[in-house]
Amino acid sequence: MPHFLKRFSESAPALFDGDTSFSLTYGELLKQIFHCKNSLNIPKALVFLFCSKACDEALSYFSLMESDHVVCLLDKNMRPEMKERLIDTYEPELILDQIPIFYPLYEKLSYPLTNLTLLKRTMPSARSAQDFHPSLKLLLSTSGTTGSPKMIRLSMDNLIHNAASIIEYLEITPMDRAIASLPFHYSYGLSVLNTHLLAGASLVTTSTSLMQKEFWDIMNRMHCTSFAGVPYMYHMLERIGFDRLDLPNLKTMTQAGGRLDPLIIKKYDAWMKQKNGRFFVMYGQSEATARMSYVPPSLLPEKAHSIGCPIPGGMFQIWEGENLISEPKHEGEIVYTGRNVMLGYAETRENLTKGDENIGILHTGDLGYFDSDGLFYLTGRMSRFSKIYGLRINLDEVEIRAKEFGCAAVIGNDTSITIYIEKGTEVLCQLCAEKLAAYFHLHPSTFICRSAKELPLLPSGKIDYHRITQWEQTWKESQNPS
Amino acid sequence: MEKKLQNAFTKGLGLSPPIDFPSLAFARSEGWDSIAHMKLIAAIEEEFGIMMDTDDVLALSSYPVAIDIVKKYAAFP
Repeated sequence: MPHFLKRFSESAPALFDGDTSFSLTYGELLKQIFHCKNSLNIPKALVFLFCSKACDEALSYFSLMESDHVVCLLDKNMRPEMKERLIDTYEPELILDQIPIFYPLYEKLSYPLTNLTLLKRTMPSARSAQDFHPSLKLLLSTSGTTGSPKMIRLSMDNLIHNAASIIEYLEITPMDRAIASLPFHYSYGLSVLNTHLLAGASLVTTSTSLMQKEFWDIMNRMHCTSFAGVPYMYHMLERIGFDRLDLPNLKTMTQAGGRLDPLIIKKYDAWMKQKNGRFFVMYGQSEATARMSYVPPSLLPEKAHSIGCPIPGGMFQIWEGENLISEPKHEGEIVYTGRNVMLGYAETRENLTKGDENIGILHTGDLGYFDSDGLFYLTGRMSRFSKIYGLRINLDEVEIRAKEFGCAAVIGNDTSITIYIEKGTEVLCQLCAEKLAAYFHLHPSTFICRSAKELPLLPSGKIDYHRITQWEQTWKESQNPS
Repeated sequence: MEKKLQNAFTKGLGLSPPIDFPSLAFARSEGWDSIAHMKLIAAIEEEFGIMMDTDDVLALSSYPVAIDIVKKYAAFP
């Protein structure tokens, strides 16, 4: 059984709980992992770990990574009926959750040292280690909140290689200390945890939010050097007047999870450079474990519109259909090659026997080009989804949900999703927006529902989304006459 | 006017009646997460025509606290 964590100096700090005084050195972490592993000592199994970004969850994650088991990280705040649906689909042998659903098929086991509850499936099962492909180690969800059963299959090799690349370009050293600002079930949040602990650095967890004073107090009190955020979090920092917060220890800020306004990029780049720190703009997908490219800070602010260059060990190509594009500024699909590319997707338990279906090549579904300096740019997406608050929302799924309210067509960008309902009344439109917000667990203002006399169709009979996007444009211009 | 603050809370947090305003608190009330917090701050600022300082944006953690903070910026009988 290969070790995930390297053996760092026993007395070096590893994990801190910023909300309490609890802390673990690398030596103590390994001892705790040993205790946790004893409770998890059953034949190779699938384990669901419902988590956010708490210290206990990080400890449990590392215990599972040092075990033989296959781990699936899921959002602990997912609605109970969605948890149940996933449990029915994948039939995990073990479940770790803070507020567990008590299932007729599961019994509670003792689990030391953390406030998580361990549940074990009691149903006699004919399953064995052959149920898993030997390379499979981790499952991540393709959607954060809706409980879609579609999972990303990752290997230990994927995780170790992506972490090593990130450690290299971010130059993470044992002196670094990150604040856990993103949940571990989210690939970016997980990469912050993995990279820091695999580099012998440390991580501070907190249940507080960056919209609370306590979060910034903890960052200072615990001497955190690194902060990671998705675009909406940078908008929050803008709102609270981030440059007026005094953060003397902060050295590295990273951003991923969607396009950030270049004006904000330039501002944070300038602000970090002025305090001898660095601001990194990065691009990736969970399908590539986390990270595919980054913009070296030396190329900012000039390349603020770019997604940068591939991470160490990675490669980008632009393909237009069957043709590999070799000249700059020619748009096509971005195809990534590297050892961090997932094995493939899973939609059922049976799929966990599948091997590597991608052989290191990922068709990102993102459209883009490279410039004459070899830096890459995004121009759009091949499939229809919006990235709201860093979450990937499939517009076709929204449309299926909206059809409960009549003939519906859905378009979206990375700030809002607009639903047009044929001959929808005002009350119906409002109800539709509210229902969608509740279903997708998003702020009500995310969904805008309007009435249309008639939905425009293409000659093929399919909805003409291009026309609807034009409607939306016209509507917005009528609201903000310039 | 307290009515204005209640309007801002209703809009910012996406609440529907009946609402027990005095009991609303960050992270404890359904829907008041960090994303809703941004919307709430924007709604309060719009409703009262004010701009809040960093400290106040971070300190505004419940409905009663919001009353005290808004009082500093606007006439609040």
